Amino acid sequence: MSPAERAFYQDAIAAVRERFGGEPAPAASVGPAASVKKALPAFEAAVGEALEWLAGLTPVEGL
Amino acid sequence: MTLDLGNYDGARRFLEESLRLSRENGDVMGIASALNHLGQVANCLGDYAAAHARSEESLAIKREVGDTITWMGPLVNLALASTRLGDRGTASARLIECLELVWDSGERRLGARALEACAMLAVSIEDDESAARFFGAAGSLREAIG
Repeated sequence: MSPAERAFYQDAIAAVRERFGGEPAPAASVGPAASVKKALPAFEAAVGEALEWLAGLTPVEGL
Repeated sequence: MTLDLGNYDGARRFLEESLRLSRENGDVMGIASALNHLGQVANCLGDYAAAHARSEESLAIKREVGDTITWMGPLVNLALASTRLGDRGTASARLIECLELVWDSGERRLGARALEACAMLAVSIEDDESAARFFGAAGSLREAIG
């Protein structure tokens, strides 16, 4: 993530950290994300999980 | 480069000039590219209405004349702007379309950006665990890309 991109996501990353109550740390090591590197080593797995999550939003979030 | 360094106002000036020259020369893909990057810059500047408008215009051009792989940038920028504008339905639809293109093309750099946009959407609905997973997955992807 470039400095500009990190700046853009700064608020969101800070919100996640705060709600996890964690120490300031790179986003990739916050909470469950730390296990993502082991759990989602494959590009396809990450994309597949995101697609599944988005599909599940429709009924739950009233999208 | 200017955008990567975080000089958004400078990037916007160069991109506006690029857009003007592309329009003058009838360079349709140049217009679409400049609009796409202007959408990205507008997101970074917090001008989400402008980001939405620029990205929509870019996507419309690219849908007419560009390969599907060129659609991913404006789709991500639209998703980010829509999330910030509170239009989660549009954000979700754009991300699904983008991730399906990512899946088909194997384009990892835009895949990482799409995962970060998913994280932003997750933050907006306070699904922090998903947000952390998507930020983490995007980070892993970026590390793998180098």
